[in-house]
Amino acid sequence: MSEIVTMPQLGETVTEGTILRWLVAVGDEVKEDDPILEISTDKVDTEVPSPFSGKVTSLLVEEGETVEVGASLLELNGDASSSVVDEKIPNDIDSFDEPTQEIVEEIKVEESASSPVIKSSNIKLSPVVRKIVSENNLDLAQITGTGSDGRITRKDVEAYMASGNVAKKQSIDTAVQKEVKQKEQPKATTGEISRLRRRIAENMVMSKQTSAHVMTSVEVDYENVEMLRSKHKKSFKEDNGFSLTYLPFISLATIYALREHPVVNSSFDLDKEIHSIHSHINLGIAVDLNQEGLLVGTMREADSFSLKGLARKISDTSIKLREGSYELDDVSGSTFTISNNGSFNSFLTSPIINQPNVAILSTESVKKRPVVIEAQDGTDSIAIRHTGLLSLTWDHRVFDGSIALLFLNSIKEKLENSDWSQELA
Amino acid sequence: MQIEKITRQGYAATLSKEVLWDIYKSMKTQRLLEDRLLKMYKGGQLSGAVYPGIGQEACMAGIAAGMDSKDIFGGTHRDLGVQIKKGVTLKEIALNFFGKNDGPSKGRDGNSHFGVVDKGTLMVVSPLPDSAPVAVGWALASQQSGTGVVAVANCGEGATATGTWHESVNMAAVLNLPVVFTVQNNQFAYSSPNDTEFGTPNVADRAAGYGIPARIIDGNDIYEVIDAIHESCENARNGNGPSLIELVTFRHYGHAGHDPAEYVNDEVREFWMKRDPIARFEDALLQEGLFTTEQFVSLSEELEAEIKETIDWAKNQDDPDPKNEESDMFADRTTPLIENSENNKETMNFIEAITNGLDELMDNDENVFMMGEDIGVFEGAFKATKGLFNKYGPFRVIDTSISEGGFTGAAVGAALAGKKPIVELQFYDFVYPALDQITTEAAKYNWKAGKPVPMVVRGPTGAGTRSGPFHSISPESLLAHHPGIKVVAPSNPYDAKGLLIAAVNDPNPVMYLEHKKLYRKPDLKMEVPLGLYEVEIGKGKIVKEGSDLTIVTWSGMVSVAEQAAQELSKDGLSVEIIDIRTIVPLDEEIILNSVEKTSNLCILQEDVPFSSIASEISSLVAEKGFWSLDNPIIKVTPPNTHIPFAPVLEDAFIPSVEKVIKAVKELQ
Repeated sequence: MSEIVTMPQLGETVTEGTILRWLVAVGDEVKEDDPILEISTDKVDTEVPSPFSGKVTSLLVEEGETVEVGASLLELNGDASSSVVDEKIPNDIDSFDEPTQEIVEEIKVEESASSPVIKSSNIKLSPVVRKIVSENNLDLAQITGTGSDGRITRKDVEAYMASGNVAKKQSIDTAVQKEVKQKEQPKATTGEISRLRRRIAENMVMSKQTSAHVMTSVEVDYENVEMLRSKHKKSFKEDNGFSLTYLPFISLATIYALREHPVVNSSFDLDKEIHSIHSHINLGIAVDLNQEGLLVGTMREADSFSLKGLARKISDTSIKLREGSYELDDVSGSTFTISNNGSFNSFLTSPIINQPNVAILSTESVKKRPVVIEAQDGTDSIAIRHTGLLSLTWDHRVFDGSIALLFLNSIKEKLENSDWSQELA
Repeated sequence: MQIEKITRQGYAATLSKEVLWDIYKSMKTQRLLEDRLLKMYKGGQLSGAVYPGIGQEACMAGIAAGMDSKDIFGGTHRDLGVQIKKGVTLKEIALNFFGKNDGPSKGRDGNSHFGVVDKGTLMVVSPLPDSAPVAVGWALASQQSGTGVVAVANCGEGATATGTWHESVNMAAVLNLPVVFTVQNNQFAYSSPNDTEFGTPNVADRAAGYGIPARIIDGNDIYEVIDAIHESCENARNGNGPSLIELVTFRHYGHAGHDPAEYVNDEVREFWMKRDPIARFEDALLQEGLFTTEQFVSLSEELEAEIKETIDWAKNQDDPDPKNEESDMFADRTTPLIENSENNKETMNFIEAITNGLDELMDNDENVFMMGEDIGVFEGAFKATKGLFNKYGPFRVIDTSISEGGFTGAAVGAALAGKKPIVELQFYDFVYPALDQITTEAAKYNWKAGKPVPMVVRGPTGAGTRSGPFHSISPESLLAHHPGIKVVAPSNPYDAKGLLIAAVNDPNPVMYLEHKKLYRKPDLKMEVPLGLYEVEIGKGKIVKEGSDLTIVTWSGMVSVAEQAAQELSKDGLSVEIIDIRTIVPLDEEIILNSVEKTSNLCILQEDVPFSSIASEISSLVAEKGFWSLDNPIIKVTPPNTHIPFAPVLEDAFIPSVEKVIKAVKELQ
């Protein structure tokens, strides 16, 4: 009896995926759970395990093709002895609001672009769009289709070109190659750009071309946090198995500040003239993948977590991302992002906004520095305090400097004055 | 074999020895040439066909000899003898038989299917007697200009059964034109004897039905033929109108080289062989002592040598170059476009602009005249000729009989004779009977005979007036499918006048389509310049600029497109409207440029869709504008049906603003 393996849903916001590579061929015997193909979505490249055992009798989609969830992928003429593939994917995260639509669209475009732009058999491009894209060497992934079924129309291409944010495929490739060359100076080599690197490159350039980046920073006295941290450091590690860093404190303060300034927790689409203020705070944390890439882990509804919960969530997310054992929902849908550059001993950073967020916070290194303290009687003295900068890159299209500084100072105020001892008790 | 004697009488009796020798020589030339050609055909040395007129030489030479040299002859493929006597050379004939480049039809038609208009013979075509109305038209031009030219319209007895012949004779009779209708009754229409072709004992009996004189003569008596033709021609020349001459004769061979003529019995053949026209002529010349047998033999030898030499020469002449296949479809216009130099303007509706144009054209050039049904005293079914009969009289605003084929063919002849005829079809639905003349004669003349035919066929088109299936067609594609004619279809008064003047001044046949719904459309009134000006044929116009979608349309649909564009603009869709104005030649550039700009194309037409102009434009853009397209091409047309009468059906038939909007929105 034949069995059909269908396109799994790799997260609840996913509606389709691109077949990256077949790991089996017709005639192969596969066992249940054997990897049979690689699927690509927005930021996830994942292997799909076979839900059945049997002999592969037919591959129903080609590499590079993008198909909808539930589409037939492969036919096995063997014994059905296992559950359906969907059960492999936990759907235990509750739905959330506005970001959904945006992410879906983003994913669609990304997937489309993963196959060769012009040759793709399942993207309907009209002759004129093919011509313009080809002549200008445009990256279709950057163009939002407004035609029926999301088809990219001539108008879409022209609007994209007129926006001035034109990312040419060639120029990005060149830039990345240059960067690679510089890194590996001793031995000049050229190599292919990894999918992740490509995505990062495209997203970074796209963000720079989308938002009006402005960086503003404040200095924070972390003495209040440091006192708590040093007090609970040891027991915390023993209880939880991981260290208590500055990041959970900064995250919590940020969450509080975001509640006070909801405009910072929003998405902004100028083309569609939609500004979405999000009801939940899905906090993104940039996680460095051991210098082999960067992913933003998303802590959904982070505003419902305690300090401890937040600390755990941050730790878990980092591990998941570094191990590559994450689902799409773990790396999508953030409404605000923190980039923890302090952990690499930064002084001041101007991060790029994680689209479609409107701001990104960079934590800078915390160090003991001499600080002038003014006593209540007005006398000055020099003290040694733990201080560090917090810098915020924000989108000047969405709000202005006052909000950026009110927001930053709100974080600063909470970090310097909040009493979080109960949280750690 | 005893030969029946002939004797000179009347005009023939006045002819000099030299003239008689010349006539004899042409008869002998025809016979020896056709005999040679027949042999070559049967020997596989000649492509196409041979239609020998052997046995009918006296008819042909006699017709030509009875005519004045300036007279015009419209005949058939079996009239080589007339052509020879009219001065067409052996070389010209041989070149045509071999399809050579320098032949009279440049290889575009073969064997005896050609004419040399400058020598007084009209182009020979296969549908017979299609040159009859053309000859009638030439006579009409002669009557108007007083040139004294007589037209001889000749055919076999079989062709007299056609409507074309009837219309020709009837028109000539009604208009009292200088035409002599000759019918060479050679007993067989291909294989069919007389009693299968007409119900009267003789063809000539039918003349009474037209009110013209007729006579039956011995077509194998050269003297009788010359005399009869001469007398009829002179009568016609003197304003006494047309006449009919039935020349009773016999062809020695079949219809063509491939026809053994087994349908002719021996008795009949023997009867006619005794009346061989050349033998009788020779006998008479000997009897009169004008020439000797030796002279006849010697002439035969000379002619045979000349024929052989000419044929050998012709075989080696240049073939036509396929690279020139498309040349001569249209004659080039040599005069510059007339710009509007008048500052005087007058507010006119569509039909007033047409009437004004007709008036100014006729006022400006006395060669311009009009023909049609009820256009004179009655001033036309739609009053397009209002005031013109009173101003220009019955010779320039001619009321015709109901003979669309006849008067359209007459327009061809008049145009060849130097006139600029404008034909009005009362409804363009009635173009069908005229199509034979339009496509067989008008469209092919420049291509096949090197003579441009400047004529205009104008009339009301289009549906929407509750006039049913026979007063409502949009004939664009019907006409445009035929190479060699131009088709224009204006949409507003300014273009209507400017295109009409350009059509009349064009050296080619132009079909001028007037959508009757536009005639008195109140909101179409506009200021139209007085005085002559032209809108260039073959140039479309951007009626409205836009960036998102191109609607290509013309004639009555332009206003529909404009309304649809206005509605669509409310949804933010910017529509560009192209009024092509001319169907043939089509302004491809304006269409392709617009599609390049908008990437979306909708073609809107009132004509039915299958094999239509919309299909043609769609094909054009698919072929030459493919890389500009962002969506499939839309065609908004009626269903592929006839035009119904019931208001609810007719309204549903005609493309509406709503239909355009719906089609465009479905695309978006």
